[in-house]
Amino acid sequence: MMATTTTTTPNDGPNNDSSASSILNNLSLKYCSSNKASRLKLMEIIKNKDLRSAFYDFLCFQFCVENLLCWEAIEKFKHKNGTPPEMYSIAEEIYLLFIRDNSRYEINIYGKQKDRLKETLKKTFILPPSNGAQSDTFPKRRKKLRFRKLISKSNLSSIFSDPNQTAGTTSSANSTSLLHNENHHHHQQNGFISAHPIQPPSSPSKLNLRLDEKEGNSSDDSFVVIFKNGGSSSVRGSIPSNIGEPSGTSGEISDYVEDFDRKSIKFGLLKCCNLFNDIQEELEQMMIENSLHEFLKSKSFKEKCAGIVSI
Amino acid sequence: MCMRKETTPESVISRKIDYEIKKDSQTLSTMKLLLLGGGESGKSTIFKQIISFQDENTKKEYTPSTDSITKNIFTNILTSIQTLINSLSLYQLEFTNDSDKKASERVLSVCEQLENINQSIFQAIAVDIKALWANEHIQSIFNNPKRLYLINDSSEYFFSNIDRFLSSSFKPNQTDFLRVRVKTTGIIEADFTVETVPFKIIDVGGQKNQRRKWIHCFQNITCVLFVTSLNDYDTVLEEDGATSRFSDSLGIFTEMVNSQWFLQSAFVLFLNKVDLFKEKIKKVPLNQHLTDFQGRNDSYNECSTFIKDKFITANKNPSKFVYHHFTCALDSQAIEVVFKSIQDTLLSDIVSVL
Repeated sequence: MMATTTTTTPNDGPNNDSSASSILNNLSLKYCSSNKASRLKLMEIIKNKDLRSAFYDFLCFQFCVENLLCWEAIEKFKHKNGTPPEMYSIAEEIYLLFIRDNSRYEINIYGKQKDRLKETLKKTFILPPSNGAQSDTFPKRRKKLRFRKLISKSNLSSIFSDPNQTAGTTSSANSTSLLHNENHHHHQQNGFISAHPIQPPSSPSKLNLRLDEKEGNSSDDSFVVIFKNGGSSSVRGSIPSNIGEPSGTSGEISDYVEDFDRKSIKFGLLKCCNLFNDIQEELEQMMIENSLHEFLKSKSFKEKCAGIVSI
Repeated sequence: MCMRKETTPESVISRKIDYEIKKDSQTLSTMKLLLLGGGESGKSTIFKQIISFQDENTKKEYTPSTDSITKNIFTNILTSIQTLINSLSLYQLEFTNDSDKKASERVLSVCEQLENINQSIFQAIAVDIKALWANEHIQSIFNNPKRLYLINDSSEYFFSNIDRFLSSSFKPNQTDFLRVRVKTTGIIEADFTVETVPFKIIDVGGQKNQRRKWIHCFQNITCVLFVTSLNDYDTVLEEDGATSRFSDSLGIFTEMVNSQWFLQSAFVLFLNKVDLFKEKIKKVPLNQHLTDFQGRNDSYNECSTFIKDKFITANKNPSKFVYHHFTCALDSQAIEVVFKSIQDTLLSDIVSVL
C-alpha cells in the first residue's frame, strides 16, 4: 500500500513546506469554488495513485467504498473497446456486482435510475433471439462471477484481496439480521435477474440453478431448477420467491447454461460507452457530497500531499 | 528535604502510561449518538441541526460550501419538476397548450445534463420551471391526495422561492441548507464537545442497501436517535416502490429497539415531519392506510398518538424506556430544546455513574 513516494524525511526544511502548502491550497482548503471544481478535484485524486489509495482508505472508513469501485469499473468499461460479447460481459459484471438489488457492493442509486438503466441496456445491446422470450437483459450466467478479474486490474487490487478489509466487513454484515431482513424482500424487487442470487464468491453457495437449454422454449419466467442434493429430480416452475433467502432451499449454485448464443450479441442503437454514464455521474455526486470534503480535511490526505511534494 | 521529580527511564514510562490511561478514560466517556431510520425520514436534517447548535468551529467544519448547497438546490428543483412532468401520464394527463409543452421539453433536456447545472443555466430555465409549476395539471397532480409518485418533501418550498435563488448574489440561508436533500451514503461522523464532554454524532444512509452498513457503528452507542417520518403512512419505499414506508420504519425500529446492541443505550424516537403530517391527515384519511386505526381521522392528537403507540409498544423490553418527541426537523428552536433535554439526560447519567 505505502508507496515509496510518500515517505518523507522530517528534515525536509521550509522549502518543502511552502510547496506542500501550495499544493494543499491548490487541492483543498478553499476547494469547492464551484461544483465543477470539486469534480475536477475528485478526478485529480482518482488519477493520482497515492491520493487515490488514501481516498480509498478513507471511503472504507466511511463504509462507502463501493462508490469508488463502481466508478472505476465503469471507467474501465468506458475505455474498453471490445467486441459486443466482451462489452456485454463487463456490463453484466458491473450490474451483478454493484447495481442488482442485494448485490455485494450495491451502490445507493434511486430505484428509478435502476429502471432507466435496464431500458438503456436493452437499447445498447441486441441479444440474439433466445429460446424463451428474454425480457431480461442479463438473463443467465455461465460461470462463476468474474468479479475478481474485473477488480484485479485496478490499482487497488491489493486492498481488495485482503480478506480482512473490504471483503471481511461485507461478509460480517451478511450475517446480521438486517441483511437477512432484506433478503425477505428479495422477491419483491423489480430487478430482472431476480432469480439468480449472487453469493459472495468466498462463501459457500447454496442453490443450484440450471437453465436447461433444450427446455428453454418455455414461457417468460419459468425455468428449471436442479437440486444437486436432490439427485436428478428437476423442479420446473416459475421463480420461487424464497430463492434469495440463504436459509431457504438447500443446494449448490453452480454453473448456469445460457440459452442464447453470446457470440451473436450485437450493439444496439445507443453507444456502448455511454451505458453507465448517468450512474457514474451519480457516483461522483455521492462521493463529492459525502466524502470529498471530509477527505480533503483529513490528516492522511495532507500527509499524502506533503509526500508528493517531497520527491 | 525537597524531593525532585525523578527522571529515570522508568518514571518517564510510568508517566507516559498514566497519561495514556487518562487519555483513554477520556475517550471512553465520549457520548456517541447514532441516528437511525429509513430513507428520507430526516436523519441528516437533525444531524445538520445538532451541528448548528455547536460552536463556530464545529459549524464551519461540517457545513458544506455555499456553492455546493446552491448547486444542490438547483438539482433538487430540477429533479422535482422532472418527477412532476413525468408523472402526468400516471394520471392520464398531458400538457394542453403548446407553450407548456415546449417548456417541459426544455426542462427535461436540462435534466438530462443535470451534472452541468450552474447559475446561468438555472437562470435560463427558471422561467420555464415557474410556468410549469403554475400549470393547472402540475398543480392538480401535486395536490392530488392520491400520490402515485414520490417527490421531495421540500419541493414546494423550493418552487415558491425560485426567484430568490435566481439572483447572482444569492447565498443560501440556514433554512435552505436544512431543506436541501442530499442522499447520505455510508457512515458520516461529526465530533464536538459540550461542556468539555466529547460528543460524536453518527449519521447513516437509510435506504435498504445502506442498512447492512449500520452494524459497523453499533458498538458503544450512548444514545440512539431513531427518526421516523409520521408523514409517510401513505407512501412506499423509493428503493422498491412496493413496501410501505410506515411498516418498513416500524420494522427497523422494532429490530433496533430490541437489539442486544442497544441494551445499554438510551433510546429516543423522533416522530418527525409533524408539520406535513398535520396537513396530510386532512387530505388522506389515516384509516385508509392504517386500517386498524379506530379514532377520528381529522384529529391530529388521535392520529399521532396512534402512530406513536405503534412504535412504543414495539419495545418488548419493559426495563427500557423509549423517549419520544413529535418534531419538525426544520424547526431549529424545537429541535434545540429536544436536543438540550437529551444532552442533559445523558450528562446527568454520567454524573450519577461517577
